[in-house]
Amino acid sequence: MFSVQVGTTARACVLTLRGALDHDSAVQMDEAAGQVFAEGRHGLLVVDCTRLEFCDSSGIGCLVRMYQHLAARGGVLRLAAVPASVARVLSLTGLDRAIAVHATLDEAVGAGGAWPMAGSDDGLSSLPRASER
Amino acid sequence: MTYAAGDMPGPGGSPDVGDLFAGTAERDLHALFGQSTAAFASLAGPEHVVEVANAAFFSAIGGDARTRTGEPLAQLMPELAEQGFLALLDHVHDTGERYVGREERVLLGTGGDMREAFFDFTYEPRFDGGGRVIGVRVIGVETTQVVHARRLAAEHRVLLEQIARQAPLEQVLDGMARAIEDLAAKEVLVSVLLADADGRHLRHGAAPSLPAFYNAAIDGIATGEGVGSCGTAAHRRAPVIVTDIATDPFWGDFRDLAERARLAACWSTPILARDGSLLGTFAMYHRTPRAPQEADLALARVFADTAALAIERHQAEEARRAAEAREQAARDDLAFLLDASTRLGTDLDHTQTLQRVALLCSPKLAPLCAVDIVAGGRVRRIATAAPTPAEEDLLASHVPGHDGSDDVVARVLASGRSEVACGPPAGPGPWRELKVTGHLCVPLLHRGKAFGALTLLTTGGDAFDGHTVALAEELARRAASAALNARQYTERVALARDLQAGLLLPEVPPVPGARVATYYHPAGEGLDVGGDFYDVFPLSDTTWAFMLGDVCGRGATAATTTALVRHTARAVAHLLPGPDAVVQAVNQALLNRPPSHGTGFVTLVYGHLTPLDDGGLDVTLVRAGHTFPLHLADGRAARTVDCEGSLLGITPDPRVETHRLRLRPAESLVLYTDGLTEVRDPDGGQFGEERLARALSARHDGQPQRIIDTLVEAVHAFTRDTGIDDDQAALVVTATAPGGPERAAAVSGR
Repeated sequence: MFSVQVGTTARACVLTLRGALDHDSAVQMDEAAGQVFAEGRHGLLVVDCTRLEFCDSSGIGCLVRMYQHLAARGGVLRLAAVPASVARVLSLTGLDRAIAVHATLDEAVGAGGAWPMAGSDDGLSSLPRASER
Repeated sequence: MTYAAGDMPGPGGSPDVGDLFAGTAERDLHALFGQSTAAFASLAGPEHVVEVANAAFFSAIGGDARTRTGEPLAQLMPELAEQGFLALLDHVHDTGERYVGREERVLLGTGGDMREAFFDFTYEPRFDGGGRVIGVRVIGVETTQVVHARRLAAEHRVLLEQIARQAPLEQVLDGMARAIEDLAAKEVLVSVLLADADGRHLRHGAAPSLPAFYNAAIDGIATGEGVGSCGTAAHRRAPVIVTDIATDPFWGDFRDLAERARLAACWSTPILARDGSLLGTFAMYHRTPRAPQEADLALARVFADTAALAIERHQAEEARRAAEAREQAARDDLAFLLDASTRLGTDLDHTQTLQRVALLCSPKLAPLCAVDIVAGGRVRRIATAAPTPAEEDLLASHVPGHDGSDDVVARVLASGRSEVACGPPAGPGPWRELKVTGHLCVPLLHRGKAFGALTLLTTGGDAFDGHTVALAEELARRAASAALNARQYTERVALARDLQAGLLLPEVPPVPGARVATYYHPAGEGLDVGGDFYDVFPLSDTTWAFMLGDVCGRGATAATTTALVRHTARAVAHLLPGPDAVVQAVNQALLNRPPSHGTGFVTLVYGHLTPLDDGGLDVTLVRAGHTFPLHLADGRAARTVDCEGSLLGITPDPRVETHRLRLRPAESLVLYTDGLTEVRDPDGGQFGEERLARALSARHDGQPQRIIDTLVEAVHAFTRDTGIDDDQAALVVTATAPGGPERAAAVSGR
């Protein structure tokens, strides 16, 4: 069983995952991300994995697609509270080098830092700039 | 009371009877009864001489001819003798006791004038002054009409009950005719004729007493002015009374016929529906020329109305049954089409689908059926169906002409329109042997053009009706659709298969110093091309490249991506210094893809191997986000080959690090895709890396195929035949001993 909830704060969009992200449930994740992007939110997207139990290559595919979409628009994808098994997969694929992983949701949302791809201002005005740190 | 001459009807004259009476009492009685409707007669003496009687009496006993007095009653009414009334009168005369009769039946008159009548009456003795019986007084009230009315009502009720019970029409009409014949006072023969729907002809309905030859002769007469009584009555929609057939102009054509049947008069009343349309005629025939009384006309009207009720009921019932039959037929057609559609959809093969059509058509729509398609520029007969194998062969052997307007199939193929006609098709063919009496040819259309034709042939005098043509056309539409779907599916499956075959290594070539075994099992069926891939190719006489990888997703885009990866590697590998440079090049190629070529990432392990002089293989490899390669020594636990590297196609630098290792003889390098480790058992648990390692630690005696077999067996045992979600692939390279077979026993996996 899998569920994803979309939440928004001033600083970020948060996708809260619950259950097993696999071949069957990946489509739900894609739809949630699609919903966020359709609203024009291309700033900071945090995926809260506190309640994520499992993630296989299909789930990786979702994360990669989200990453690519945001990267092309100057946005950022971060993961929060990733369970050990998922952390392993991220390490295996080397995704943890492209997508920042934080221990807690607050950290993920609060952390500043330069974006991997500095770009346009779209959707980033509310976020702290690298120069402000 | 005096009886003037005019008071006594009839030519017999009327004696002045006033003088005959003894007393005023008698006179008073006569005064009372003189003009009464009750019959009164004064009889005198043992001979019962009719001294005086009133008009009602004479009228009752027979009218003018019998209006005579001074005669014995027996003389006036000879018919009374056998009926016992004279005996009764004698008894009254002899005993002086009065006799009262209630509703007694008497037949009055003789020969053709005889009629049945009912009377309530009294025979009273007449006494002289001295108490001696001098005669009998007859006073009677005719109750014939009451009795007849009662009988009529009873009969009518019976008929109405029959009609209400939906008794068959012939039964009702026949019963009606007989009832009237029985009820009528004088002999009458009844005939009921039924009108055709168009009201132009009358058909025999019921005529229980008319001779068969007569009924046969008038069955089907036209309605029209002057066509006997019935024809005219039907035409005029009004009763037609012919009192004397012999002289009536309407009976000109039928006079001889009527004479032979001994019919002299005919009164015909039309039977009309509530809306005034003609249902038939109701006729009363008589043996002698007769004019109807009001009672007769009333009777005719009542029964004509009853007949109308019966006939309308019958027609309504027939209409209801016809409507039900039509509805049932429509339901049957729909069921046939639905069933046919289902059966046509079950075959996945284009040809089989069309062959099915022939079986569905014969014998349901026609005994003989053939299906032709245009293939390779020619018309080919691909299916036939017939009652016997011999007929099927005959049908199959007939080759429809391709052009030439002679051939119905050729015409239908050219025009794309159905053709139906009586008789066999024009042009040569085994029509006589097959006894073809009708043909129907329906096109099988794809986007308005005929790619085939469905031919139906009937035998034994049948022809095709509009309903069958419509059904055949609908069936052809569904068959064409099903066949095209089947073909498209087949073509796509073939395409996918060809694509897949083109993407994979058909056979692992012999690699010096090594044995290589592969395993490949894509998850998708038919149309789904897999996303896992592997490759083995030479870089020089001694150095070979190998890779195994996974493109996320499946289908055509995944296929193009695997092609891109393999061909990029093959193109640059011998130009670049080492595996990491090759993988960087692949990464760049992926990043350079136009979005329409896909944006998915790729994981892979890529490496080079070179045989060492003192045995074994020198291997350098890189891992880009893929599962860790495993280093196996026979019988020992597998060791993970740990090296960094991210998946390809996402970032500009996957930061792969090169790893170098040595495979001693009989040691193996195992590459696999996560489709194997992520496979699940029925409870949902994953196979996982531990089970994988355990399976790999089994002995394999330096044969990589055995490693693969053990692994595959373990996976199958684990999954217990639940389906697989993801592609599975594995590549095993085992180093051979120095001086051992140069050629690898390379076996491609399943």
